[in-house]
Order: sequence, then C-alpha cells, then structure tokens
Amino acid sequence: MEKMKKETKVFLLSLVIAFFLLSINPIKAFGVSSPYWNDGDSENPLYMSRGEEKIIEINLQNRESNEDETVKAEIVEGQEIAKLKKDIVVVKGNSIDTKFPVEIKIPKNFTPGNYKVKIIFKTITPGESGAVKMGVGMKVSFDVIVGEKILEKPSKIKKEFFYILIILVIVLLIIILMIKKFFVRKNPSKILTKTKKQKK
Amino acid sequence: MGVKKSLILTILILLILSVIILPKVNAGILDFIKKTITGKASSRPTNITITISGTNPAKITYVSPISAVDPTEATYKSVTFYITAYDEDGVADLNDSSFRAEFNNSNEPRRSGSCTLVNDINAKSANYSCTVNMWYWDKSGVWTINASGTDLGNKSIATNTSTTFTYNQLKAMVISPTTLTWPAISPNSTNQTSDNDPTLINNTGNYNGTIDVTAINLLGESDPLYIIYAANFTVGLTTGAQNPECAGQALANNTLVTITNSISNRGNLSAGGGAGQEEFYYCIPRVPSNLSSQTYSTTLGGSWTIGY
Repeated sequence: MEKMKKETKVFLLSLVIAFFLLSINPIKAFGVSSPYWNDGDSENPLYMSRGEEKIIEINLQNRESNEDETVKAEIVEGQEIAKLKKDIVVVKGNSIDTKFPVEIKIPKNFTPGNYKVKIIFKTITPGESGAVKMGVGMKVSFDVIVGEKILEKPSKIKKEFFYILIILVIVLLIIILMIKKFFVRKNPSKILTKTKKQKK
Repeated sequence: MGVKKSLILTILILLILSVIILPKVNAGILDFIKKTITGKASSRPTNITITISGTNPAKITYVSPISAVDPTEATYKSVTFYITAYDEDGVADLNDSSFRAEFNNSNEPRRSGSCTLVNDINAKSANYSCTVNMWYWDKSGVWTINASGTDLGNKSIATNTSTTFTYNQLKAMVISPTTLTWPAISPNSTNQTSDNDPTLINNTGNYNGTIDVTAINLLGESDPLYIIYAANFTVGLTTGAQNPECAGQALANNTLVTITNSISNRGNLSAGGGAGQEEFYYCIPRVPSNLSSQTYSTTLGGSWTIGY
C-alpha cells in the first residue's frame, strides 16, 4: 500500500515536470507589416503635401507564438514629422492584427524634399539567470516625400459660421411662412377684397 | 315574394360556388365542360432550354480596387475582389466557369485563383467574385491583377490588367533557442564558443536583407561591477573545427550591428533547403582577465535583440 502511494506521487510529480517543460516556449516570434518602406528588395514612399496630416497604421503580428509579447516602439529618425500615440503595446499570442498608429504631420513652412522616418519595435524580454536572453526587434523605415503644394485646411470657424447661416435662413423662412399663414387665416376677406381692388 | 327571394338567394349561392370551385385556368364554364366531356389529354407546358451563343466577344469591364494588403506571418492571405463581365449577346453567353484571376509581379511566381458567379447585374453584365492566395514570402510592392474569361459563342479570351494593388512589406521572424549559454569559462581563455548555438532565424515574412544583432553588456549577477562587455562577443554564420565564428562580426553594447553576409533570404520555409533561414554562431575570442568568479547574464542589463 505504502509502495503504491509512493509510485503515484512519483507519477504525479513527473507529470507536473513534463507539463512545466512543455509550457516553456522555446521560440520567440514577432512581425511588423508596414504600408510604407524603403529597405529590402522594393520600396514604397509616402507622398505628402506641406500642411498635411496623416495617421498611418503599422500592423503588429505574433501568429507563431502562444505567448503575448510586450513591444516597445521608438522613433529613431524623423522625429520632426513623426509622432507615436503610444510607445508600449501588447501583441497577443497567435494574433495578426494589432494596429499601431503613427502620426505624420508636415508643417506648412517645411522645405519640400525627401525625409526619412525610422521606428524600432523591440520585444521586451525579461532576463534569465545564467544565460544571454534573446529578443526580437524590427525597424520600420520609410521615405516621406514632401511636395511643393501647400494644403490649406478649411478653417473650423468658417465651417461653423456656414452651418449657423444655413440654420438661420431655414428658421427665417419658417417664420415668414407662419406669419403669412396667420394673416391669411385671420382676415381672408381683406386679402380677397384687396386683390379685387387691385384688379379694378 | 318569399319564394322569389329564396330563388334569387339560391342562384347567388350557386354562382359564388361555381366561381370558387372551377379551376381558374379555364376560360369559362363551357370550356371546362368541353374539356371534361371530350376526354382529350390536356396540353402540358414543356421546358425548353435554349443556349444563346452569340458572335460578340466577352469583355471584362470592371475590376474592383484592392486596398493595400498586409501579408500574414508564415501563412497565406486570401485576397478577394470582384470583376464585371459583359457580353453583347447576353449573360447566358458568358462561360461562368472560365473566369479566373492572377496576380503578377516581374520575376515573381504568379499567384492564381478562381472566380465564381455572384449575380447577373443586368441582361448583359454579370458580377464575379475572385479569390487569390498570396504567400508570406511573396515580394512586397505593386502587383498587377490579371482577370480573364471567355464566352460560349465567340470563345476569344477577354482579359483586364488595368488594376494593381500593393502588397505590403512584412518583417517577421521566429528565433530559437531564445537563450544562449556557455560552458564554464576562465579569464584569459580564448575562442570560447556557445554550447547551445546556432540561433536559428526563420524568416516568416517577405523582407529580403541583412540581419542585425543588438548586444548588451553581461553584468555579474552577484557583483554587477564585473562586466563581460558586448564587444567581447563575435557572431559568425558558420562553425567548425577552426571555430570560424570567433573571427566573425564583433558586437557593441546597445548598438545595432549588421552581421556581414547575413541574409533573411525570403522563401518557403516548408520547402527546406535553407529557404527563409539563417543561422548565427557565437564566440568569445578572448575572455577578459579582470573577471570575478560568478555567473554573468542579461538579467540586469537587458536582453539581446535579433532583427531586420
């Protein structure tokens, strides 16, 4: 009986160890897909006008791993035109669609030309005693070609004024119609005689 | 009076009943009687299929635009779009099963897919849905959509290559193992190679270019004042009896170092033969002399990074 108990304990312990070993993830995976790029075997620059603002979305993927990845983003080139909305993002395990927005803003007084933007995405990997821990990092690098044209943004005040003007005209029209209706109801004969007199 | 009234009522009821009971297809009561009395077999409607094969060729008049497509790590991405086929001889002349689509990019293997009929837009135009699978290693850039199909009468192939789409860049990798270890080393010893390398780098995207390593100094776990500097490590692409990795690229602390001659080598990982794969081997050509006896690791300084 005692021997059987001992054997069961050993079996359970080996099961726990086996589960622990299996749960250790021996791989590290991460991917970044960008709509604009300037390295590799092709390129796709972003064309913009002066005064233009745009938010581009970079797609972070972690399809090959079951573990969530915490990723840190940093702009290393092009800070004068590119801005991150956040710099830390969690990319869920087995996911392919974590959108990471990057704001590109070209000032009106910017000199037309070719500007570079480089953003580095690195997985935050906790260290491990007695070893060199490896993480994965990707750099997204693309050209922003700024043209001569200056984009005039419609003024917000002008827009609001235009809407108020339309509402005022509609209200005025309704009031005129109501007044007219009121007078016709109150004294229809007067209007009739008046028209008859006019005819004469 | 009462008899008259009941007579009129009976006639009315009979009339109503005759209207309800008599089949509606008969032209009248007499017609109905004639047919039942003669016993002639009633005429039956017959379905006749007429295939209209015209002489006018089919045309593909519209290919719906495809917004930029993000590849998916280590698998394919199904790209769906719509085409409109037109035939002056009518939609019945369009050969539905002949419509197909291809994506082309110079020097790249073309990607093919099929199209299925969605609906007839009008008497002469029909709408087809087409799906083509793009693979993770397919080249980033502009791809041309080539939609084609024929009709039953003219049989000449109609094509439309007027539309293109952008296949975005995907920089992605899977590395293993995720830690590097060395056997016990002593100060001043030379050519100390890692005992669990190489790091296998699988390219699960479509980037084609060099690979970088950003190393961090290894601090002593008990006394962090003792350091094995990142510059003491080298990375090579091969190993062997002469430890060629020890003459490889020297690393630098917190600096992105491009490993010379490394290549992400985009390709089908399942095909084997090294497509989409690279290997890194590590060495400490000379262990610093001023080290205390303890464990050194990235626990305090931070992990190393492999990337594109």
